[in-house]
Amino acid sequence: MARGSSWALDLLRPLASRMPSVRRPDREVPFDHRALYTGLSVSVFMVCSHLPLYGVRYDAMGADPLYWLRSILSSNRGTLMELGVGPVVTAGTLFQLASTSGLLRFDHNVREDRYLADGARKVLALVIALGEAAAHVLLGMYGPHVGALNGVLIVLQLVSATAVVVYLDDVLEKGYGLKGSSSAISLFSAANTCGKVFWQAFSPVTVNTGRGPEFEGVVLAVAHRALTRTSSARAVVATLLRRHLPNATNLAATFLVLLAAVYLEGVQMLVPLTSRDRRGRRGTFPIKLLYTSTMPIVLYTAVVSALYLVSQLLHYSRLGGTLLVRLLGVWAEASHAAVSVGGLAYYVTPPASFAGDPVHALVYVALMLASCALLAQGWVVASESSARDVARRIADQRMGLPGRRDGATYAELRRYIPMAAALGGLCVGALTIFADMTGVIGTDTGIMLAATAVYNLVKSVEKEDKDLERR
Amino acid sequence: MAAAEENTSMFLIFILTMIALPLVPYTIMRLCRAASEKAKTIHCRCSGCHRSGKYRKSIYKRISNFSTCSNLTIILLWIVMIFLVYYIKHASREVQVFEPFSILGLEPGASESEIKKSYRRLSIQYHPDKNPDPEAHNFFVEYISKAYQALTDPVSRENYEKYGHPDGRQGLQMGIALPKFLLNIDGASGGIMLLGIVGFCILLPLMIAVIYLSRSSKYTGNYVMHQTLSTYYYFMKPSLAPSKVMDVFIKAAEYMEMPVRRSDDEPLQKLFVAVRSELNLDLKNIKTEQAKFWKQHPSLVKMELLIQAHLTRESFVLTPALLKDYRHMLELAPRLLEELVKIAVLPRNPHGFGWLRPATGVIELSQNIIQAVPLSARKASGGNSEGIAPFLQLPYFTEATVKKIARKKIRAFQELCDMSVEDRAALLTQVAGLSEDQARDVDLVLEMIPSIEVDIKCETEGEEGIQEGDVVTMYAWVSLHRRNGLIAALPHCPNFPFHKEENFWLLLADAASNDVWLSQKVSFMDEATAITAASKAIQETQEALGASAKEIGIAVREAVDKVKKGSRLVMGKFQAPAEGTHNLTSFCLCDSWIGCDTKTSFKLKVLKRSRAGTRGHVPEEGVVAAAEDGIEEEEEEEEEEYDDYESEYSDDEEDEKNKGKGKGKVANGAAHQEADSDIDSGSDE
Repeated sequence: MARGSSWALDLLRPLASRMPSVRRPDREVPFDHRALYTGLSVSVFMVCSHLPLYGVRYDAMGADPLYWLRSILSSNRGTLMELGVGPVVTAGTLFQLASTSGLLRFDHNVREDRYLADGARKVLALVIALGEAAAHVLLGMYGPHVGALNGVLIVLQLVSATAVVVYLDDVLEKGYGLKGSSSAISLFSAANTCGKVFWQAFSPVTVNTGRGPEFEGVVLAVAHRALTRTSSARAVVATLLRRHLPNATNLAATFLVLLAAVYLEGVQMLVPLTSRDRRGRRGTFPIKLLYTSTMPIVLYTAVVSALYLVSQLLHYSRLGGTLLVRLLGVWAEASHAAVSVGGLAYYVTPPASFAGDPVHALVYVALMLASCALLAQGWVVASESSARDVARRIADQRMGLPGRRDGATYAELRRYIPMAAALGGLCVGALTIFADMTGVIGTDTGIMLAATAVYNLVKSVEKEDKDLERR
Repeated sequence: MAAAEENTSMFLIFILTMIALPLVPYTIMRLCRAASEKAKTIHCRCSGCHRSGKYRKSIYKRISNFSTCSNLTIILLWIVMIFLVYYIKHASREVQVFEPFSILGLEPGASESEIKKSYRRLSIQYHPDKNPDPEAHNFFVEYISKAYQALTDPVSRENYEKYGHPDGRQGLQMGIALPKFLLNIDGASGGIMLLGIVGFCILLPLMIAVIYLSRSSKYTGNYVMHQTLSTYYYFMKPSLAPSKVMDVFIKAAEYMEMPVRRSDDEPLQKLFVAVRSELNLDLKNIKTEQAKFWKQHPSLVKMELLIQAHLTRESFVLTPALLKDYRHMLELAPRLLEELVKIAVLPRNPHGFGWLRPATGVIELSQNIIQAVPLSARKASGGNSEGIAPFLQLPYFTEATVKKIARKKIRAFQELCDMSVEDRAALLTQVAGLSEDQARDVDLVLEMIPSIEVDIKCETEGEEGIQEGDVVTMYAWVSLHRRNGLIAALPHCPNFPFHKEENFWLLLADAASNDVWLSQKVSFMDEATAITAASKAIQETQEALGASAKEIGIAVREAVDKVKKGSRLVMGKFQAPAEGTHNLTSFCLCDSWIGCDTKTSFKLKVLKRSRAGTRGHVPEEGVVAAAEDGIEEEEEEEEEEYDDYESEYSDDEEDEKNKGKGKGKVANGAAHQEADSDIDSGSDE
């Protein structure tokens, strides 16, 4: 490591070197232990995301401006997981950016450097959490009059919750988690969404809208109707299609989207490779249809929620009526949240029904598909998985297409990777639109993320099972 | 009051659903499994196995088998469920819900004219002018006219269709389906509730998890202690004589942990006298040898004596305490022996070859323990190269019986197997002096004995010939055949008191240099798994070769057919050694039967490298494996090496795993079979 050049790392050094970290296991942790560790981390996370914050008056909280971001950050409003995995993700991304841009320079092969980088990332995550928590309190997310003491308490709670997430992530990352769950972030967001789906299916909360109490959970509601009403068939059907509470079509759509996402995740094309050095060694490089996985929709959601935030801020600010602000979005107060009724914000919001405003629906679909395809293309370049990068990596490993020159690999990959990325982006976009239209439980993005995370997990468990048998 | 009642019934529904959700699928699964289990008996049907009680199903046993805890729980839960359904159906009062359509006797969504018609019809029936009954009057005012109004008035009809009530949206009342007493909690009881929830839902699972983790951290994934593995690794030597294998085997930490009681001394002394001839003691200075034997660690002495007691079938002399240890020892034995084989074949030298001699020694010990045949019975005697051990695994066979039939020129076990049924019956009844029933039992066991064929091919995938340094793929079909036609079967082992499945070890080895090139355990028990494994392996191979979907389909179907006929596919990769012709032998050793091992020799011709060191350096084995991983899982970020990776044992394990990962890519056998690798398969036996 060239010490002088990374002033940023030196700045963090005093704190970073003192951050405790999870020790790597001496030998490979057996499968059942890893399953247990994963399960424990997820349940700790789930418990945290249901524990309400102390010092918050829930009636004082207004509409939720961050609603769209919640599913990707797996955060729950008003709980310890208010920030979710946000700080960890942000810190990781910032670090990645800094190290690729040369701002931070450290050598992955030096143990001390690696520890330092690890600690620095943790410090950064905590600092970001501190900032975000303070912003939440100061900007009035918990009502205008929180009080100084309560405010400090809330910030402390949020920062310590983030510390918990940081170390859960550390545990899973250092080889104690299941192989497919190498990133705790996707695992947590999947758990969050799955928990929501489960709750909507089996929630024991009863709601009475004047027609007698009814269960919130679909399955329970159906059982209730089937067992108590005398005219069973019709009442059951009515319950299945009820409008005011989650109904069976929502549940069915959720499963449909899950299945479709899992199917798409499995579609891939294999490029056969042989070793240049050693005859007989072969491998394959899989080009998945969802080449960028669910990344386009995550990016899209992030962009859209940023747009909402800015537009809402501007709408309610002094600049309210100006043309530019109106172009961005016009907002109206609805019962539980602000609703966009015009401008760009309106057109990126999923329409309630196609018939209501066909122009809105068409623009929404077009915007969604186009931006997903473009974002997928962009992400391929940004994440260094473009045809050129992949070809270089394959060449570095002394592999290549059988019977062809090294240059052929690039030509072959270039034929498929951009297409796969664009097509994958379109597929993800289309699936998200379908999810919006059918009203899946949770949010569309959440479901897609959960599907891919669960798919990877199952895949890796299957593989480990096979390895275990072989031993 | 009504609300509370309703709440209770909703709570019951909640409970009911929560019970039904796991219970129904679980019951169906149990029933399916029970149905499929009855289909086939795969264990040995000779009277010896029958008497051992492992597979016995007396009526009493069946009842006790059926009335296990889980079955009883299932039945109890079903009863609870039926009761709940009955209770909910009958006890819950119907909530009065205003449904104008059904009051007017119409389908929902009926038209205006229909509503009017129906109203008129009902008015004739119930109108106070027509019907003097006060109840009819009540009904008319309360329901019919209200329903009519609700449906004819456009505003209230829209409200009804939208919100289910003619007055528009009703206020929401939220609640939780819990019994009343749980909901109005305050003060002390609330605190207790909180404590209970925290204790049971959070702390208890955590405690259980922590206890489980600390308990099982001593064990590997195969339920063998880490300590055992490192001991085995330490004591394993390249030329471990079969007689010394036992000394290593009993050093397992599991065995060392077993209690040594003072009260055991005397019975052990007695046992020592009984099995002394088996202990390999030097007869010349027997005194010092004996003293030396007793000076070993008391656990080792005890284990050795117990195993010898088992091998010589003297276990009936054991005291109850020792008998318990003895059973525990036998229960652990197959697992430990398997690990011992794995340790023996671990890649050791720079070529990644394991050791052959200890491996075969361990497998022989395993055979002897399963069949309870003394090790000395293996010694060649009287024109019989393999000793009398295989005969002794048959029921009613003793040394005397073997001597008797040897007089009739039946010396090798194979000869006895190859005789016709009548000849054998005659031989056994007339010469060996067995009764007819006993002879039939012997026949049953002989029918159970598997015969194995190995069809092996080695080639460099997608290339011609094998050159120095190539990654060579071995591609072996191991086929099993039994005279009674079974494929998956449990071995005859009346003296081994636990469930034991047959396993085979396929070792590709160079017998002259004591090198095991490849090793793999093969099991014939689970056909479904074997089919998926084989088809997946074939598919991956073909994909790597860039075959079309149709070719892949055909190859996979062929493989599945073969598996169904009783073959298993074994694939592995190794690095081709220096040029020259190598005399290889593929051993297929069974861990539970004596005398059904097969050897197949063939020659592997390795050519000189055609393009000398193509483009520079030749990477080391470890690097190769890592690189391969990288290609297959391109998505993953750079793999960091483990920091504190010092345990040499786990290092080796890793290698093994990499090797395992490497397998699964094989060239299309038919197309490249003829290539340069001369394979003359020929059975030695």
